[in-house]
Amino acid sequence: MLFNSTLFLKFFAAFLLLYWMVRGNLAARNWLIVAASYAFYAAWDWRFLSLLIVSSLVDYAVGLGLDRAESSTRRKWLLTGSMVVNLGILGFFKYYGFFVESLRELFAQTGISFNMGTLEIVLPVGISFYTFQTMSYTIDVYRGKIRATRRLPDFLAYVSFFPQLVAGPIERAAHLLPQFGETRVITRGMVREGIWLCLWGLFKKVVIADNLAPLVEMVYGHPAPGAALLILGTAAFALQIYGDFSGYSDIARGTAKILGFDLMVNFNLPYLATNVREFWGRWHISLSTWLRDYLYIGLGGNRGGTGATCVNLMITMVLGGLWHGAAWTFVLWGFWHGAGLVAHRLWMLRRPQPGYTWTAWGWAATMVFVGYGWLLFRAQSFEHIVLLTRALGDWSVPAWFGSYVVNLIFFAIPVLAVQAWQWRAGSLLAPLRLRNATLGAIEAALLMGIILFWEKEKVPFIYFQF
Amino acid sequence: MRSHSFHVPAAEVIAMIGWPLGWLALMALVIHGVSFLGLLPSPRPAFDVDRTILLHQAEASRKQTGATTLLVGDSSCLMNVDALRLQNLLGPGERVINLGAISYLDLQAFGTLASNYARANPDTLRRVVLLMHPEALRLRHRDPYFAEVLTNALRGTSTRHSVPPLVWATGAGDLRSRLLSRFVPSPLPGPWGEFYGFSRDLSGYLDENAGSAIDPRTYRADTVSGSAEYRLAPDLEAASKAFRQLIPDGVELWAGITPAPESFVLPDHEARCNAMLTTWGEWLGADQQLTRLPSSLEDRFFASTTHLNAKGREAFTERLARDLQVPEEPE
Repeated sequence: MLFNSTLFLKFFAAFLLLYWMVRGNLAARNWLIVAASYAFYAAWDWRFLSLLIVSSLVDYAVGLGLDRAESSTRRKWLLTGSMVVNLGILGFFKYYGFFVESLRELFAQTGISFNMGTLEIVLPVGISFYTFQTMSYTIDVYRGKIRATRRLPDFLAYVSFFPQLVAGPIERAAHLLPQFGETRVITRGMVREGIWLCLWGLFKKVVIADNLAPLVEMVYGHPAPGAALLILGTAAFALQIYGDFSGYSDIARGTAKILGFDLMVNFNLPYLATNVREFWGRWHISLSTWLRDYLYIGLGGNRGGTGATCVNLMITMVLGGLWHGAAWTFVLWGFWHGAGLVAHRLWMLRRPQPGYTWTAWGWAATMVFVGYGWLLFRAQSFEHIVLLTRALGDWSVPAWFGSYVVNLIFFAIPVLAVQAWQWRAGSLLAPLRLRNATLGAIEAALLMGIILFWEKEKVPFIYFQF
Repeated sequence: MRSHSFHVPAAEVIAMIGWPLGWLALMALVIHGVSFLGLLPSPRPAFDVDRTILLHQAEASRKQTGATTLLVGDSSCLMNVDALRLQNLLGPGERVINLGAISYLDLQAFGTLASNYARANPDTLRRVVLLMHPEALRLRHRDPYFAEVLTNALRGTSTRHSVPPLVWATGAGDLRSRLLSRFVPSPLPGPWGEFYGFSRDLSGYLDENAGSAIDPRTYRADTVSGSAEYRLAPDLEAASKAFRQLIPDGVELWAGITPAPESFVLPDHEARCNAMLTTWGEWLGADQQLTRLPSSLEDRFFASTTHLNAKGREAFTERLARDLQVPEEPE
């Protein structure tokens, strides 16, 4: 059930009606959220609902066990059990085929035949997101940051909350879980913000991302794109993936807001970053902070000196790349960003900045770095990466280059204009400072755009494949 | 404990929803108003390969381009004949325009294009060459959507068929087809995008090549499905007679069948095509039947089972030129 589908509109309308009916009872509300979220997930594939439920029940039980356990050994075993179950499910469904195929290729290089069979495994949608979300709960309980909850419906709602179930933001228990235990006060500001986020998110997905997708495919599916086309195609992909993913996050936050819940900001004008570290502070914030708090710090963070810090950064980013997909190109993309973070750290050690200054040079260098990273991310194979990189030396353009530029500019302008506005105003919610009538005109324009392109062939959200 | 409390006055909610809907309604009124008053350009829904071709050929059918020989027919006519090369081969004094369209249309649509062109070029048009593929000749049902697209393209009106009510009501459909499509060309998919790029570029190619196009795909016999048991559709007789009525007196009608890949056809394909052409030619009342055109060619000349590739187009155009220059003697 895509957010940009008539089915979801009907689902949400029906849910709002039932939500209104249970306004007098908190427990009923949470069970309603659980039921609706399971129905939402089952609409994708009902077979994998069991994985979501198993993961939720295991971590609910582990949380309770951690709260009661006094021995540190028992606590460690409980946490290990949670990790094994969650990472085991994730590893099997997402990475089994990848590892078997990689081993087969590795042995083939040495002339050894490796015949372990691969299985036709379907990747359950959202598995990377909800397993990380449940693991953050058990880790935080283990670390004593939060108490385990005894209210099962609260916990099930926290894991399965449909606005953010399949593509994030990856929430933290400390932030989201308590909200299910409270009466939610829905204010004018929350409704206004929710409506804006839903419309802007839908616009970014339906109008921007889905119209840039064919432009990207024209380049990345071309046998020999030239440098100019490749640069523009990569720029198109940078905007496509931003529109797609931040659009989804905005819709998730907007629908949650209308229901009275607050989800974390997941994107904060990432293409204004002036260094790689800042980029990761603005892009997919819920994942980058998760990796920082549960992997990087767990490995030792920056406590072991420069060398250990660099190693920890690389491991974190490589695994972060692997999280995105079971392919070596994603690993390479993670390695690329890890190398960028290491280089930035070493640079900062040599040239410490007393204050923060936005510089055009820093911005340009970061965009080139991130842009090449998107090339690695979008390419289909190592051979494709080599072909595309070599294409950067060929400056010929096809006859239809002008039409390509027109398309890219047309669909880039709205998102760049709103981002510039948000940047100048210093707030992602700058549009909400307008009067109702003025904001209404802008929202009407967004609506018109959404209606214009609603009936186009639906392009799946990119991050659903993760 | 209460689940939630709603601290938003109803008037505020109405304002939050009402303002954008109100502005949207105003936009819709303005768009419908200027469209009704004829202040907007005519629709140009060139959103994909098929509609781009249809729109171009519809517009070209009303232009005074002074062709002496007009090619009409399905997509095999469009893709298999290089109009400019044919013109050169036919010699000085000859001008060739290709108004081949797509196979989702029927003889009435092809006839309409020919009739429009004849009206726009009464003094120069001497010959109409109708080329169709056996695949199109056996089709029983046509897609009404494309017939409506062509009709609306010729009238300068919007297509209502399969337009969702909300898209029509808000004026979004008019906004997209009348304005947006003229300034922002649509990307074409797969090999079409790689070769032509965008709808505007495909249209430009048709302009520069007298209405002919190239199918950029590569034929793969191992992926082809379908049957080569070609025959004439039952309703083709009435349609053929109606087509003849659309060709002005004094303009010759030549009819031919375009080739299929050797590996795809049945052993009796040539005999089958000859029989089909004889019967079809009689129904059409054709002045000449192009019986010497090849009914099949080697697979390497094809882009699909119905379209030749660039090399195949070159070879077929030469054969067509020879046949048009030396008509077959009646028996």
